[in-house]
Amino acid sequence: MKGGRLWWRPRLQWHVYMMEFWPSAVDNTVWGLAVPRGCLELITMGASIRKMMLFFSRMVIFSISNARYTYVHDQKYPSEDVDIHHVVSRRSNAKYLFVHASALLVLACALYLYVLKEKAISLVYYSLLFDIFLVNLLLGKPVKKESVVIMPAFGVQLETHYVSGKVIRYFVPIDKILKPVLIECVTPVTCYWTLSLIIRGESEMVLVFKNLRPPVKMLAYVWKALCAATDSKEETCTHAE
Amino acid sequence: MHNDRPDLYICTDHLLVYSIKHMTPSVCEGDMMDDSQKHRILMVSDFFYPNFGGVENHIYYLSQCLLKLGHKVVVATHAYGNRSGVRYMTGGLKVYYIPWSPFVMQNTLPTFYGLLPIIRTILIRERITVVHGHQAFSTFCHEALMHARTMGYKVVFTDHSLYGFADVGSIHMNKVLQFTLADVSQAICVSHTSKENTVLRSGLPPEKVFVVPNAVDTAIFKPAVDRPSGSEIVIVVISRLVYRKGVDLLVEVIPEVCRLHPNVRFIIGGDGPKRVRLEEMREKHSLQDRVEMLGAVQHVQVRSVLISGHIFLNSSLTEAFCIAILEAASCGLLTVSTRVGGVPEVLPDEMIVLAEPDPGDMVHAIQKAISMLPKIDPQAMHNRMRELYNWHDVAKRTEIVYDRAFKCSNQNLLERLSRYLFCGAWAGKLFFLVMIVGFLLWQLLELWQPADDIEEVPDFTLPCSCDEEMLEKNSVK
Repeated sequence: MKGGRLWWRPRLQWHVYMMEFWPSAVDNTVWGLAVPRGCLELITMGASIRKMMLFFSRMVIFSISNARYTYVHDQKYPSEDVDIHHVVSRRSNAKYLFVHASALLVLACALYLYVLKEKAISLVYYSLLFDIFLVNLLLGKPVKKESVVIMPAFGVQLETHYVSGKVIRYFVPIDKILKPVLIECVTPVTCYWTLSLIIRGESEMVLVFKNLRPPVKMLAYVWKALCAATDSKEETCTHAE
Repeated sequence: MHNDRPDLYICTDHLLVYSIKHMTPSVCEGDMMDDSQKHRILMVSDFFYPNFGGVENHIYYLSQCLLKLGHKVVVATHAYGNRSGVRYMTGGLKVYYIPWSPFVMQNTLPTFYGLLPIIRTILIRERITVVHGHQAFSTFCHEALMHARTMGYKVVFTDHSLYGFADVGSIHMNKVLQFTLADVSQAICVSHTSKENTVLRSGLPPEKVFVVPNAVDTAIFKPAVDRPSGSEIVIVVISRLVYRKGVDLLVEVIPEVCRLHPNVRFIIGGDGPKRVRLEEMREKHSLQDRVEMLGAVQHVQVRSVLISGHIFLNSSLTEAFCIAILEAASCGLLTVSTRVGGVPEVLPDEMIVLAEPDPGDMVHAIQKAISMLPKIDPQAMHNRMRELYNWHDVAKRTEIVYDRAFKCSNQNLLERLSRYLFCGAWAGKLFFLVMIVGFLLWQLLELWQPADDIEEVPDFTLPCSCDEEMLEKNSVK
């Protein structure tokens, strides 16, 4: 089995946090809490640990949140060789309200002009079309969640979950992954970080979390997990040879 | 005739720049206190590697020396072909090749506000404290400086060229410069002549303009171990063959010198529109065996061309600061140059013979240089250059300018706007309007993408393997 005792690390996290949190506390956990005293006794238990692991196998282990995204490190299956990372998009209520309020405002102006100023009815139709265009443009394609399922023995599966329930999956075999890298991208209007996989035999990299663009603080954890799964060193060397 | 040239290191009220060597102990103590402050500098220009030229060289070497002094330096420029995105150069120098395509003469399309989002993002994520723009003819630089001032950053500008006052292009450029520099914290020019030119063009108060000369990499430009021997005298010319470099002067000077001195030979490196005139001159006077045309010379080959000669000839019609004669002097060549722009300030009398930009006077100067040749020691000249022009010295002086910029008080929008109004009868109002709209757009960006959402970038640190590699390289040097 690759990585030897790799499976033990998430278990340690499980021990640390089991006493503190339930799934409802996902949104506000902070990494780095001290180990509670009771956990020491818990860790020393023998066979009963396995029993409790099976019982609490659906427990959420770790998460980070900011204004726009929630990162969840999940242990969904009892198998010790599966590692799942989610980035969930928090729907921005302010943006949602702003877009719809703007649309309503445009429509109200058009109706006002039609009813009181006796402008052509086509103005209302045009404003309606403009509203539809505006809503689609600003609210964009509704991606709810993107996930990375790491199976060290097989490969990495990238999932994109849409609000409509549609799921797009992409699987990369483990032996084709040369290296996971964190890269800064520059566009004419902004800069951001992406997590990419360098694939053997292909000229283009595969982007993880392609649609959501989470912050680098969240990407770093997934990057470390991918490095562990692919036996890559966690180098921060940025020299181009 | 005694040349009345100002001392490069003179301390006067107007200069406010003190050479490191001339510092009094009390000033040194102040400087030591200032040295404790580390700056985070963003260099902005349209001109950077892989393009090559004086401005590119200046930005690169200055950045490297500032990095060695402990500051953090980031360069922002536009994309060059496929080179787009973030790159790291020697010493961890981070370069943003922002994917705006060059529009004309390596300048990006001048849009007043097109660069505001990306400049704002870079300033926030890199935690920049000083924005340093380079070159008056860089639209990228002007826009970045304008937006940086809108956001309240300290701004320093370096001017690398001389511009006229009479033609349409110069009038327009001077007005743009007046707009950009109306609100700049400090400005740097590469020579006193350039300072005078910039102050007249932009209306900056002279006490805000510092003189920090260019420098030369003396580790690269070394004299030949053995000087080219024999009775032959080789005169080297390396420049772009364009009107501004005075090629028309060369066409008159070279035949006359060849007629007067049968043992003189010319080597001409460089390419450009005026090359045809030189070829015609060669044909007309049958000088094919005495005038050698090399064509375009890559910068890595410049030294090997220079050390094959005894005299370097510069016939420029205008120069703010001539780096080419620095390189030639560092290689041990005696220089003959036109007395234009900042050239008289560059070299001491024993290293240069100056002439008016006139063929007769230039021939006379070349004759004088030939008579001075036996007394020239290339190695002594090289050592002198290494003391006079050093990029580390340039970086230290630039650091002083940054410290001065930090001591300038912050000003609110109203005070800055009133300064723009004084730029001209109608231009002032136009500038005023541009700044108002810029401020509003910035506030809009703050709402759309708050500064807290832009996460800061961790600073570059050399990994262990690279550390060992760098140590080995340094030990080899």
